[in-house]
Amino acid sequence: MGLFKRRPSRADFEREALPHTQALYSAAVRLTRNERDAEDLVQDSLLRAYRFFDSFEPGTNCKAWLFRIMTNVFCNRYREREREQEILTEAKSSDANLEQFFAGVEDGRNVEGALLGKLVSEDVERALAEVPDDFRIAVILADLEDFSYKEIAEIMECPAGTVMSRLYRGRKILQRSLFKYAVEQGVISADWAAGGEADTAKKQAVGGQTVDLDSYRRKRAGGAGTDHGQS
Amino acid sequence: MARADRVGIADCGDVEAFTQAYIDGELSGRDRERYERHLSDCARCSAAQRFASRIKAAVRGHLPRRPLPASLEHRLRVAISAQPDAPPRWPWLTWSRMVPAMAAMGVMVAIVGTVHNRRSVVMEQARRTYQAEVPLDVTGKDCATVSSWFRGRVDFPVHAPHLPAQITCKGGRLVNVEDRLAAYLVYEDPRGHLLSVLVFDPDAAPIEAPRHRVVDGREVFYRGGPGVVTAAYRDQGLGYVMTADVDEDAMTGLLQASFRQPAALPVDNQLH
Repeated sequence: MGLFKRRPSRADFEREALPHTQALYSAAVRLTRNERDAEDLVQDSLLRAYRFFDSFEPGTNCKAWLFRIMTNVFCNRYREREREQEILTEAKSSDANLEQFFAGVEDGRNVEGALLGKLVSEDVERALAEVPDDFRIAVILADLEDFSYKEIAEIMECPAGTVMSRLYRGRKILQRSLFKYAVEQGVISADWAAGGEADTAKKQAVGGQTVDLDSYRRKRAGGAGTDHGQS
Repeated sequence: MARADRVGIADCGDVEAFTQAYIDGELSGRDRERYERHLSDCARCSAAQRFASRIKAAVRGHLPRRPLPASLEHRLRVAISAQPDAPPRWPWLTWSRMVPAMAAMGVMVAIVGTVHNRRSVVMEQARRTYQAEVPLDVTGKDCATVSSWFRGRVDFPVHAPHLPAQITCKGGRLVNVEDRLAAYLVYEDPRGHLLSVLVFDPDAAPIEAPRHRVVDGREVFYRGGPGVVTAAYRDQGLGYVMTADVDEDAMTGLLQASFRQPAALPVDNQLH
């Protein structure tokens, strides 16, 4: 059933769809993590969109329609399933630690300012690249492309609740990487990140000079365990 | 009343889910009011909210749009101009031809109903296999020969559905549907567009989809995706999922054609 009154022409496609090419390419670079694959992904997606352009309903959100096609092509051709499985398992196991880590930060120490003030774009790109596919797609769509939860749900073909949880986890994983880099680079020190100036006992448990986040977490988890034991 | 609300949201754990929706501009009405009231009372949640929105802004600020490489712009221009102007997909299947043909045949198509939130594993699988353009185990233009390749490999005789003459067989591949083996047949039209038919044991995976219609007295389930339509039906105890890059009505036309012709029997099965 043709939704255009007439069959859409190349000019219609060029007018409606092509203005979104840069947005598609930007997202494609961050989906595929390399520029060469991104170019292929954009080309495949736009050609597919062109072939099916008569199923696009004029007046609806063309950008969302194009992103839905590209997400689909990406998921079928480029995603690294095995790698993702590994990261997912890893992410699950360290999630509880991550929560504790942020709980410390969110106490409102100056860690926030130190971290945000010294972030470099390269680190943010690298941190985003470490987020597994499904979560990364959600973060890209929400944070970089301003799609609403409803639009993301349609693009990713999943319920809105799933969008929220993917976005939540994606952001947490991204933040964890940013903290890891900041600690590695000495922008924030691990004990400072713990945010416990008043809590010297906890500070000692953390060990002051830890730069590796995992050992930091282990130490901190050990300290937290003692706290729980007392309460 | 305000007091009751405040009590309701006193647990900061409940607010966690709101923080994200709030910074994304997805919290409205009463939820938003309650959340904001809680923030004004709770320094910790207020700091968490501020942190979340600052880091969102920082991520966005550090990851601007990438400039479009000139090489890609050129590639796209060339690729799109190589396509026909009004993108005709399956040209012999256009409405101008199908509608009178279907009317002449006295086609009975009735939309039976819509059920939301149902997903058929086998339809999803057929669509993914189609889009992945998987390699074929056997190739050949003769559907009966391709069908007969599956003899002994799957537990049932594979009858390739009869499709309009423009669509020729390309080959087949052995696939798994849940824990059983199934036959995946690939067809091609003169322009290189692909159509696939998954023939499987319907006891292995039920057929369900949001929409179903009765086509020529047979119940057909449809599932649409961007540019791809999947239709599933049962015939003589077997399940079939047909997938092609056509729209739903064109798919109905294809099914129509296949239901009206006997299936191509495997060559060594002709006398059964």
